[in-house]
Amino acid sequence: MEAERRGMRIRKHPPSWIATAFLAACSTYASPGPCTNKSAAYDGFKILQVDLKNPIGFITPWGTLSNSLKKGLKLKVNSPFSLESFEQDSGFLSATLKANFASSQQTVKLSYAGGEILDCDPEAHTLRVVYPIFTSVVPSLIAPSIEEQTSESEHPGTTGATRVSERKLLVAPLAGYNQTRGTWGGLTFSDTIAKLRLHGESEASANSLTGHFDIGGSSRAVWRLWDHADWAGTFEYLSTPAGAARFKEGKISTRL
Amino acid sequence: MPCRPIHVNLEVDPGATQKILISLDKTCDANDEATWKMSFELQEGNPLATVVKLDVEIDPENHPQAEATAANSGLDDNHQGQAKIAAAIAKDPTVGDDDKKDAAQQVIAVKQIPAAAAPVNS
Repeated sequence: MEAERRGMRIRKHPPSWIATAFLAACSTYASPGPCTNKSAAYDGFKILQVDLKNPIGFITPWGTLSNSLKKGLKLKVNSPFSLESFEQDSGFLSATLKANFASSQQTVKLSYAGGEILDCDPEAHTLRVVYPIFTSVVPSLIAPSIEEQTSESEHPGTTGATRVSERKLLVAPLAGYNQTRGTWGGLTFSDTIAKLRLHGESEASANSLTGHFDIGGSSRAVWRLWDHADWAGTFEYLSTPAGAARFKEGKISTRL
Repeated sequence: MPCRPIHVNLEVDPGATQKILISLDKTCDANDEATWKMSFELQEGNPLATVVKLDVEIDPENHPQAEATAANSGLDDNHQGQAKIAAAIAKDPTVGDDDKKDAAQQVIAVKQIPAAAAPVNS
């Protein structure tokens, strides 16, 4: 009887005991949260993840710089966090982006590298490190035509969401809005094939279609006529509303 | 708000034979004190070659302007105008180094920051 009573007690009490213990555990568990302390306070925390965050990286599925940049970082997954290395990594990313683009055929207008500490868990002493990077470039393969310069000045600043890749081929989306054309989207690309430099851009909206294609190259000295010559050809197409009428134009031009 | 590092490289191209490169670097020490440094480089000629390069520590009173410049990721018209002025001063052999650095610092200082709402007196 006693054993049976004890057994009943055992059967009766464990569920409430487990529930109490579970609730107690839940109340003491601190989930990862924002890292509001100064960076040095996280020295020694275990790094669960190191990421490079590029807000428009997803649009270029090939040859991103992320992998090569990641290899040069001092902070690694599962290693302890250090403010000194965190600062050095951020500086390294900035210097590398700058150096990489300086030797490329694109003109850098802006490069940004920062550093963020996320998901700090004071109980488990863990965190995540994210380095936001962003670069806005414009292809400089061919000197811009007058039409291009005009077009460039008319575009809003948000248009230049051009991203660099490790290859010479560059493809990037364009988007913008103006009162005449409404919201428009398009694509820009540039590449070098042999000695030819190519650059094209096409944009479309509900009421307009524009595009241009440039091809350029250079030639060596021709006797005593010139030391070298640069040449370029441009095809441009415009179909945009102009008041009550519609402006349409197709144009081919060459320069030497 | 905790201090976090920021590095921004900006470029101004007044013409085909002139380029102004501006770097803004924010670093944080162990006490979470921010230090802003700016590098100002003027390139001229064809091909472009560095004419002047200045490294300037941004004064603490200009830290909000530096933060705003980095956050907006770009140079506005005021910045670009002052960058051209700073370039002209940087090239002038009669101007001292301190004045050149001051002119470079003004590139960041001219950033317009919206004024905070004035307190309402009861």
